[in-house]
Amino acid sequence: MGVNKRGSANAIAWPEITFLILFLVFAAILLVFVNNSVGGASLTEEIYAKKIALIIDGAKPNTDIVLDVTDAYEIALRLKKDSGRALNESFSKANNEPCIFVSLGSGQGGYSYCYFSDYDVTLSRPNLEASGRVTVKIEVRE
Amino acid sequence: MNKRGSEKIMSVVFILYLILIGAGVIILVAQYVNSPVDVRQLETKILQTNFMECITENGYVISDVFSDDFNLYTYCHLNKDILNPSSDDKREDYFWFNISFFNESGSMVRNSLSAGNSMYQSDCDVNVGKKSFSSLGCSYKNESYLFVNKTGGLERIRVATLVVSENTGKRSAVTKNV
Repeated sequence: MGVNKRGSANAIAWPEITFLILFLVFAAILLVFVNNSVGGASLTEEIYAKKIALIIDGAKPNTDIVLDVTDAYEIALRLKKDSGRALNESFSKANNEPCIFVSLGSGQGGYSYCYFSDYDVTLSRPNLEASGRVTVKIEVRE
Repeated sequence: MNKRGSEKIMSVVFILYLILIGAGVIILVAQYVNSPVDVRQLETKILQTNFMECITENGYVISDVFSDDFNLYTYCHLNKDILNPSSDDKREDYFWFNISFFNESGSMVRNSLSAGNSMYQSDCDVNVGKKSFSSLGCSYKNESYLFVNKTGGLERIRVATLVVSENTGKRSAVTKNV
């Protein structure tokens, strides 16, 4: 059993293994942070609020537009943990305000963007289709 | 003894590298996430298109534009509260637009149609010639149209439009119901 201490597995491997574990933990934390930040609710809320407002601004009267919001619904479902809430509370338009409000997080906060068109605008509740696609319907009327 | 010392230094350097890389990634991602999705330029183009489609038809400026009681907001279905909120309104003034009509000799055919926050105009004017706009969303267009004058004759006029937007949207804490 005359093991040479220099050649033993423990003596050589521990510092490297420690570094490797440290590095992996660090990389994992960074990946989770980047994923949460970039694929998070706040950016998606802003993108959809602006997208819908610009669609309304550019729409001619008596136009119906169906917009695929599946990715936003998936974020809302993950954060709200309730399909009903994710469908009911994610996209809304104030009664007397020409503004689109998108709220995908678990709380009451969200992003609001106003449009300048004065046509009569209706924003439907998101519709979960049989194919799994989620859409909202925007109606622009004279 | 020397080797142990160098190993300790190496581990400190390694951890410093990790901290540096981590801080760099966090700063870059935070900057990316917190920077607004800028649609102001697109918004000004849409508004400008709405104006031109509303006040012109088949290459002619519609005659209603030259009547004294012409109301751009109602005629073009634009929301005055958003484009030009009154001073007692809680809304901020995010837009500026100016539509001018010049005849061939360069004099104005009618008063300009303009509204909003005029402070924005000077910010865009600086760069209009170069067609490179500042941090605001600016859209400038100068096009030639025909119009029927009071005597029934045809005249060529230039319609110059400048539309500016500083509308960036806002985070809100309260959900609004449909």
